[in-house]
Amino acid sequence: MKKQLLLLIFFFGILSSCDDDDSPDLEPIPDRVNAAITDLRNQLVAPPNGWKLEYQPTPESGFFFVLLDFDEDGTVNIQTDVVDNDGEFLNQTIFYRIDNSLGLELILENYAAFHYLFELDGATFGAEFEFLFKFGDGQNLFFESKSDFRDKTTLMFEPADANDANSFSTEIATNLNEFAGFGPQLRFTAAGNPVQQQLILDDEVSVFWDIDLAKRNVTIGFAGIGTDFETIVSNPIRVFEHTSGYSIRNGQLVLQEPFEFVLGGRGYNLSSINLNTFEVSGPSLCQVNPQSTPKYSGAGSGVGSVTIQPNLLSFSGASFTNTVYTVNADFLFDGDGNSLTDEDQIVGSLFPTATGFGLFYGVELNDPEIPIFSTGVFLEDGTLLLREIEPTSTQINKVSIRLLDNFYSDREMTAEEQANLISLTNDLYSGGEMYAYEIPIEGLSLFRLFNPCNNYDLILVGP
Amino acid sequence: MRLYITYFSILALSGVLSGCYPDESINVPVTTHDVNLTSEIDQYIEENFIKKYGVAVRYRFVDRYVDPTTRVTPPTLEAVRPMLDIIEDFWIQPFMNIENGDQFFREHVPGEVILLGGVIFNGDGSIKLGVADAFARITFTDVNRVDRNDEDWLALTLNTVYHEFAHIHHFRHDFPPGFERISPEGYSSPGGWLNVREEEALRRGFVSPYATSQVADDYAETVSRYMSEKDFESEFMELEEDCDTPECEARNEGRLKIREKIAAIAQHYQTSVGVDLHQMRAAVQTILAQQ
Repeated sequence: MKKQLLLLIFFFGILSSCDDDDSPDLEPIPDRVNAAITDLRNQLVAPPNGWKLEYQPTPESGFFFVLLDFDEDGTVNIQTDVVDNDGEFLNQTIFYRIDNSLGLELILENYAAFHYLFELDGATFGAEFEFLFKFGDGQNLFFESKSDFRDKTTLMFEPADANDANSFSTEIATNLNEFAGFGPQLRFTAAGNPVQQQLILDDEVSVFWDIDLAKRNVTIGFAGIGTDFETIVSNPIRVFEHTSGYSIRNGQLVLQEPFEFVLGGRGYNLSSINLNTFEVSGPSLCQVNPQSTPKYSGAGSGVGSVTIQPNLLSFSGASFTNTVYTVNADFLFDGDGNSLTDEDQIVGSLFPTATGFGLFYGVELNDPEIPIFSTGVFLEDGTLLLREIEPTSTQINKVSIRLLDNFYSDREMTAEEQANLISLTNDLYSGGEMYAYEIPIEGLSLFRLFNPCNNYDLILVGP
Repeated sequence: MRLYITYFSILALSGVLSGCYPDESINVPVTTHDVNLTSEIDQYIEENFIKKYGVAVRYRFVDRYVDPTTRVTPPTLEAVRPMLDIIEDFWIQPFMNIENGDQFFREHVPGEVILLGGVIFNGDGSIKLGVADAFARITFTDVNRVDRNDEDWLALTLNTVYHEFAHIHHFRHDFPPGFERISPEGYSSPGGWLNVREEEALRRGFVSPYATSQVADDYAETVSRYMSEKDFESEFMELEEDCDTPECEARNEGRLKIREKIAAIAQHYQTSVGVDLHQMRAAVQTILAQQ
């Protein structure tokens, strides 16, 4: 009986709670929703010059400058400094919508810069094109990314000034993208390939960073004294792991996290670089077949003059050490992603039965007859065909290959096989300077060995 | 008695709770396109898709049109009209040009067509091209790359829409009797089709590796490839002459099974909807030849 009394009291409680929502002053829910949508739309279309936004999709990324001009007809003009796709995203007008679902939502309904960033890295980068309206503060409006499960991005819309459009520096972003064509091109992970650059500062100090031109961040790997490879490796090198997002505005590349270091008794503080002279006069990455490369010059706050030029040095490949590297022969690629075992490619035409490829990089094997520095192919009948190389070691991530005219096979090598092996290795290691980069896949010791003279990418698996 | 009181309590409680929301919650709008429904593209869709065929074409992003576990983007505005033209020219028009095709198309076309700018990114890192949800919706992917002169893109797009439309046909009319018994040994284990090469699929009696994944996709792939591929007959139906190797004999055995499938599907289309599959192919090939 006691329980039934309690239930009765509970019912009355619920019934009385219904009364609170039936206030005659409240409009029906649809009307209130429509009023809220209309109110937000009115706020969005109000500023005469639209809104400006420094959009940082993730805490690790840099910033994209965006101007948004909303119209009552349901369209929004979006100007950005995203220069990719031949400038498609510099100035677009698309549809927008304000919904009420998880609260008021601003949805950019057609593909534009936000959607392009959303799709980066197989749509895992973390950019957004649906935003939850959070609140207004003074003249500013605050939104939050809708689908981020963590690290929700907050977007602050500020009323734009008439001259904000002048602060775009799209020519710098465009020129920086020119560097992307120098270095490994094939993507083996969703994250894509950063570009290696050398920054030559005052006093001939060089800073080397990996720059991600799509996500706008840099990872400063090391600095050394000198401007050329031989000088740099003959002097003390300071290794760093400093990462920072960056923005590009008003003629400057600005680091979100300034970089301070001391080298050669002088302190440097790199926070921004005025970039003003772009030329195609940088150093060639291939010595035997010189190529034109870009070069950007300017001045940095706290570092004096700055010259940015392409380079392939990176400590991401410094762990390419002496051991045995092998791979299924299908994983040798040309610069367009074609396997070199295809019929019309060099491995496929010279060694159609090749199943594997190896680089014996200074390690003694069970069979002492096998040269400890050698490279070559494995055939499907188990035959090993190798050509010796001069003893060498990795300097930072540079691997110098000098081919010798000594050969090894576990059976007698025919004259044709030897001639083909000479042709193959001469081609694979053309130029004699390869650059190793680790491919970050958990549980695997995996490297790409990149040749800047022919853009070959040799994937190698360590033990 | 206590039991009855408890039942009464539950009924009363549910009545009380539902009574708290007289007529407010149901009508809350989720998506409001209250402005600009008179844009040029919207007018074109209204006249040429909604009024003509009862098909709503969605080119503006609405998240409830897509699987919430996937990540997708809408198309660029510039891609929408060229894509609509391709849908009209290569999907709708062939059916208008054949006997009973008009009626078949109108009765089977889904109520919604969704246009997506890129591919569908699944949560596991894989991607998906094209989706048919029961017989209510077909989703076109990679619309931002629309280019009717790009043979690869066009082939993929047409294969997708014919494939998905074939699914709608068998959802409504089932498979031809005995279809699943034509090459029963050839179907792959779940996910196994990814390791099947084109040659192996043909030997098993299938038009593609994906067709080996299950009976429904065998049916849809066979229809779509038959409609869209110019060389289908020489590749999948005509037997190689002077066949004196086991590999060649296996390919010819596979072709005999594909012939049997085409015959069964053609008969099924004829009896179920009065449409000639061979006329469907001819109509598509005629339009493709005019490209």
